Amino acid sequence: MSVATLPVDTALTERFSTLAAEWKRDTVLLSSTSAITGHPAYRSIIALGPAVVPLLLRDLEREPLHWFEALQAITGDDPVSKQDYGRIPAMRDAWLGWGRSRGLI
Amino acid sequence: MRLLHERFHEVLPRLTAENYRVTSPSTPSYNCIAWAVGVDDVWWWPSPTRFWPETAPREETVSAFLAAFASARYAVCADGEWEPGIEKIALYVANDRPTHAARQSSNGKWTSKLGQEVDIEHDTPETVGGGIYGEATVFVSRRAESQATAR
Repeated sequence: MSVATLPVDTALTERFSTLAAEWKRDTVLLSSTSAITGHPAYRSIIALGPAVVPLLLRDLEREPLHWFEALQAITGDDPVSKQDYGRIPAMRDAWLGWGRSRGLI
Repeated sequence: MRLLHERFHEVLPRLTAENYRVTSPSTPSYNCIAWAVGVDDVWWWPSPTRFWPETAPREETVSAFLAAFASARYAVCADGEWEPGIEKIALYVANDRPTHAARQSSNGKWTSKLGQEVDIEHDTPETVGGGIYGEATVFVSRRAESQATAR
C-alpha cells in the first residue's frame, strides 16, 4: 500500500502525538543529530511505518523540527539537495514540497 | 511561563536566575556548534544530512570537532581565561562524545545556543556544565576577527 492511500486513524494520531511530545521534551536542548534521531520515541515513530508520514509532514509544516531522518527512513526518499544539508528551513521546504506533490498534505 | 533554569533544572543543574540571560528566541535553524563559530542559519553536526566542514572527519569525536573548529581558524589552547583580542570556544564532552560548544564574547562572558532552544549569555563555561552536556574539557582560540583582518 502506498503512503498516499493510507487513512490516518485516531489511534495512530494519538500514538504519534504522545511519542512526538516525549521526543520534543527530551531532545530540545540537544545538538547531536544522532542523539536527537536515536531517541527511543523517535525510533518508535519510525516503526509506525508509512501511515505516519502525513502526520510527520503536518508537524513539520507547523514547526521546522528534525523529522527529516524519520521521513527518509520510512520513505527511502531524500528530496533535500546536498548543498541544503543543515539548512533546516530549506530541508523543511524540500520535504513539504515532496509531500504536497504526493497529495499527503 | 517557567523560566529557563526552572524548566531545565534537571538537565542543566548549574543554571540559576543570576548566572545567565536569554539573548534570542528559540529556533531549530542552527545549533551550538554553528553558533560557536558565528553561524546562525545552519545546523552543524557530523551526521549524513547536516552541514560539516569538508576538511573534518564526519564522526562524533573530539578530534573531528577540533578539525571542524580548525576550518574556522581555531586551534587548541590551554583554557577559557579571557584574553584581549582572542576569541575562544569551549567544547563540552560527555561519555567521550562532544555534546555542546560555547563561545566567549568580547566582554569575557560566554554565549551558548541550547539545542533547538534559545541562545543564552552565561558567566562561565561551567554554568551550562554538570548535566546533559557533561563538562567543558577542550578549549580552542583564534585571534579576534578585527585583529586578524588588521594584520
